[in-house]
Amino acid sequence: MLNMNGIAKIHRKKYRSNLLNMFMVILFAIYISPIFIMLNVSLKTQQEAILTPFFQLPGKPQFNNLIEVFRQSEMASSLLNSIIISVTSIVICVLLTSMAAYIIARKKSKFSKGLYNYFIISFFVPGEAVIISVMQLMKFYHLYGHLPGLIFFYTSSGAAMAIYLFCAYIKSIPKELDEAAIVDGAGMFRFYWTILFPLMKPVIATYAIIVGINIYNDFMTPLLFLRSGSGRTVTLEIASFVSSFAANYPLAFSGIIIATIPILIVFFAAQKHIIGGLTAGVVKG
Amino acid sequence: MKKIKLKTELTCFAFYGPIVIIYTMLSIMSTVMLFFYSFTDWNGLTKTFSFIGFENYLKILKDDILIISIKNSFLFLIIYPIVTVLPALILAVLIDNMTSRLGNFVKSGFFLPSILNGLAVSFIWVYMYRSDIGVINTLLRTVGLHSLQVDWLGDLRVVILSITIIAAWKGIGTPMMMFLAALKTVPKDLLDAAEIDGANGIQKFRKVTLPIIWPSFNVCMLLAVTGALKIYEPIYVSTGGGPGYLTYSIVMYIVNLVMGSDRVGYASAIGTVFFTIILFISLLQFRLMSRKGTE
Repeated sequence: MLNMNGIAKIHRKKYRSNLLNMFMVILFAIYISPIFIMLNVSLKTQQEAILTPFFQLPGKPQFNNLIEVFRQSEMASSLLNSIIISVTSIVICVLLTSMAAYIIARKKSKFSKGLYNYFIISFFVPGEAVIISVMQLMKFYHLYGHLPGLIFFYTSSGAAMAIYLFCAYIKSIPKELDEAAIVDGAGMFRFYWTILFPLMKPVIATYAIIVGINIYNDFMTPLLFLRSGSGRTVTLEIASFVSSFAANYPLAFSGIIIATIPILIVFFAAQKHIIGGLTAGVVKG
Repeated sequence: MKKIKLKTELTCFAFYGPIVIIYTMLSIMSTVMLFFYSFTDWNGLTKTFSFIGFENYLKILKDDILIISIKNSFLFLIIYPIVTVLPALILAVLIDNMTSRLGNFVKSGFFLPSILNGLAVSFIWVYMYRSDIGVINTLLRTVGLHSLQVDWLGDLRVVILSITIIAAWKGIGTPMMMFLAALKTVPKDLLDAAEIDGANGIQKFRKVTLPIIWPSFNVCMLLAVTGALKIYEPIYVSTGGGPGYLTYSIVMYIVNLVMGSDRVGYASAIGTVFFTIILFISLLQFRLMSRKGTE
């Protein structure tokens, strides 16, 4: 039963939560304002960008800037390169590691335990520290300066996290399933491909999206392992913007917007997986 | 019987073999070779090189650039966790108290910078920091606080802080999400019980919520500390390590050594030092975490 006191309390609570909502929306607007400032400036002319303050809207929106980016840079081919590299690395890595994880998680032997630890140890090795020896190895394998070299690199460096996640996930799938399939006469490969792999879809989606975004956004690896003339990734394209259009903010920001669109599409399409994955601890420090 | 066993072994190998080979060829080999190179004077070009023992490591002690880099990395290590983990916790608590639909929207918005390209983010901030047409100084001028105007990326007193803020703007989303997930695990009846016992909001947070989300606080701290040491793109775009070497970090130094010179042996030694620092911090953190857990 509610007395007057209780009603007043509820009112006060509601008022407070409205206040909080309002405060948070304002804070949120301030926090992501750099994105809106970038959008605004990208639509200005070069003179406007320098002469007018950042909050003033452009006199006439220059949507031409977006087209100009494609004319003045290799954005189109870089975008394609980045997408191909991210997707190929993820597909290869997911296929190979999920197969390995099946054996590691299901076989109860010292060997499979050791194999698991063998993958996990590279969690402790920061990529930045070993970059010098990775570079020498890439030269040794004749992959230095080639786009497939990057795929090889990402497949290897993504393996530890994948094995860790996939093993944990497979262990949560009841073992009776394996036995039922074997009674029905399915071989290991058939079982993996037709039963286990489809069951692993959620964890694979999470891994693929988070690591895929990381690969797409990676700067250091392409910077070190690609040479001029071997094709560029989107991040390298942005880097060359930063130097060549340093004074031309509208064009540079337009380029950044174009480069970001694929990421935004993935983010809005798969937000659930990204957030689910983060809370499961899928974070590359 | 033996034949069947061999066949299963071979099938198993077909499953784990490919990734083990790839992983060994690059991830494992690179770590092994890092230690190996660090004891040589190899320049990366010749076929021969000689072992020089700990000479590379002794050279490190006299390397002024490295000392500046370590100093800066240490500054990042102190500032970055403070400006990411604490605000992330406050944001998470506030968002957790919002109405759920609006809260979800705001949550995604705060997370958005985390998935953006680090290089692009840094470039936006370089524009924000510009001392003439930059956003921050323009705002300060508009409000009349002319004296607070600073050359954010040129003034050596603030430049490290400016760079850290770039990284933090992008880095706050992940710990915020982790805190939000942890806050969801706090049992509602526990909070209600505390309220009936007369606890106010702050007491409830300190005595009920905080102990429950403490493990994720530790994980976030660990990630922030190692993340701070790996800050690279913001430095690359904003100052390029300059003026001189004054804003170099360890990672910046390693990358420039790898790109610019042929001192593979020396760069490996620095890589090994960096590896050791990260390993040491992680282990220390693990120790602290497990101690907290047993209390």
